[in-house]
Amino acid sequence: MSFAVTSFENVSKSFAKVKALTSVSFQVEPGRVLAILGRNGAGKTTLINLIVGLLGPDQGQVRLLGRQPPYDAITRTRIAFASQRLALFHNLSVRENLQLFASLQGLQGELLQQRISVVSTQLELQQVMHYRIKACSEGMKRRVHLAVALLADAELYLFDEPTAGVDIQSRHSILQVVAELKKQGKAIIYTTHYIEEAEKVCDDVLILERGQVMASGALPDLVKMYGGQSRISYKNSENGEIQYLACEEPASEISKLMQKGFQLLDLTVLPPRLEDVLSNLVQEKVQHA
Amino acid sequence: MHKVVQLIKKDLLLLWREPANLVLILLIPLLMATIFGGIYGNDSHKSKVTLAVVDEDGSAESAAFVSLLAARPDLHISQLNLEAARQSTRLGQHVAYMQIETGFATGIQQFPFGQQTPVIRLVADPKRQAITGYMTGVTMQTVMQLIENRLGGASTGSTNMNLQPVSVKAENIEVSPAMPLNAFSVTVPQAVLWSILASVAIMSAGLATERSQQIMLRLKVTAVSMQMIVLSKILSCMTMILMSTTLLFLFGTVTFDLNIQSLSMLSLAIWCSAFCFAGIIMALGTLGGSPGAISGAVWTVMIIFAMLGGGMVPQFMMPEWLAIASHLSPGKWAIQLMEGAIWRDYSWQDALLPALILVILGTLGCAAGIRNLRNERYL
Repeated sequence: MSFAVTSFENVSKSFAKVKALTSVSFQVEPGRVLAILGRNGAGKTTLINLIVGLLGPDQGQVRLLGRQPPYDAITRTRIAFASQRLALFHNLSVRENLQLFASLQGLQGELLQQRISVVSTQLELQQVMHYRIKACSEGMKRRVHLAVALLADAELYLFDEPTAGVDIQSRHSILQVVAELKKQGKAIIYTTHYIEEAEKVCDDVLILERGQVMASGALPDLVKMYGGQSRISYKNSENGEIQYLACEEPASEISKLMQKGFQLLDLTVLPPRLEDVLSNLVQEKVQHA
Repeated sequence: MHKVVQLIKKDLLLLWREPANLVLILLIPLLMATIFGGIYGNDSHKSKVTLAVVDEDGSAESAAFVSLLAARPDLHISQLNLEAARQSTRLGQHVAYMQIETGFATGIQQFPFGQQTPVIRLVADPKRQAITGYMTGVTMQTVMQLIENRLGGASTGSTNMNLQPVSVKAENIEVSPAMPLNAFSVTVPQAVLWSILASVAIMSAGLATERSQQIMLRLKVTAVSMQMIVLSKILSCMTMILMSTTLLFLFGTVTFDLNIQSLSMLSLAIWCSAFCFAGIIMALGTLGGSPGAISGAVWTVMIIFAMLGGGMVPQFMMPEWLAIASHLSPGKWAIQLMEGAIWRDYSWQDALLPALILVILGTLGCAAGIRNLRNERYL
């Protein structure tokens, strides 16, 4: 079994009479990306506060690199955190921001310059290094914000909605960076409201609803468990209409249709996706209620 | 320490990059000191010794003597009656008064064969021994000039004979400590207070912005310890206030001939004020609310502090009820300590109370700020 970079064991947290999290358990291993999904108020923020040590749990155990909060300075240097809001100095240039945060990470001299050069290349910021942040576009700002997090040689990267409000190009380079970090064996926690984005980058998913874990596990397992049936779409050769069909086994369903003499034009097989997982879980919850 | 220095450098750079900040912290206070100093005080005699003269002899000789004194470039003479001269010296409007007693003319006419030596009294604040000594010399010199004029330019030779034409008696008068000697002695500390209050408003809003953008949180979660964040913020605020107040006092000294009685006490005043208001920045900048809301609230509080503390009406001109209410403003203690070093002639014992109050307020502010920052969560 691989060493967990961070883990929650039956963690509960309440604020006054409000239960923010109830018995949450999960772990993130090196080289894996965990997507935390949930509506506003589901408990994502409390969970992040607990991971980074800003809050302590009422019950259960939170561990980061084998340590429990409050974390010492060395442990904290091994977390890279990009909050949802742009934590940058808007009257400093891109370079000045990177230099400042790098020096606060303890980097100096040649190493500092080298690190800035690497992250600015990764996030395509070389051309705008002298721009003040206030003069940058939203996408650029978001990339600089992420670049600051990448300055640290961390074990755990925590990205809270890193692509919120950015253009396609910036989103692409941010997702590339996440993929690169994953390749390097870093553990990543990623929150987003874009389901297709989570699907693209994550290995594991944790779905929160009102402070409780609705579902968690590896993405393929969740899809298998909660994704429901695959869908086939084809153009009916007789009337030219697009037909949709839900089925467990697309291959056998297609052969059955062909045996019946249907000409399947523009045939597409749509396997269940994370989006289906979420909608099925929500439906299930509504029915249960 | 390297990280703390980096954070301080960043704060100062951000401040420098916003021209409006410099206008509020330096330019407006400078204008205030200049304009109000110009309105309240006549600065044409600022480099002269202001002397009230009481001519009890009322003779042609005494009038000629006063004319000779008035012709000197280093003196500004006002002829008053004894009561008015005493009062104006007590209130600091004149640095001394000179009383020419009856018999002056006779003494001058009979010199060097007279039986009685005429008396001139020089009455000044006992703390102004240098002025008394200087004026004694000036008086003797002018009397000798008067005698020479009477004798048609011939030297009396009296100095060789060691004869004294007049007897100059130095006396002390209790000077009211509640009155400044120069309008700028009041308006410069007032301007400094405004500059400090502007720094507080600007830096509190800056701190609130950093919090709302979760920069503080980013630092706190990752590489920088809470102690470093707090220390750097306090030192940034103090550095800003120290720099602006030092510049304003330098300007006051060079431009307005601000006569600082105790430089060491003024340094104490600046340091204590800087610490006190850095604490206030920490407390106000870490309150909940948006940067805009905090900025508005801080300006309101600062204007009240200024009104109560003597930033608008000088403390010595306040009615009693306002003087009592002013105890609530840290600005009052800051101005009092600065004025103590400039013209109130405070002893170190006098300076202790305002200094202590400023340090206590600063400590309380820092403690509140640290508590607020500690409780900060990611939202």
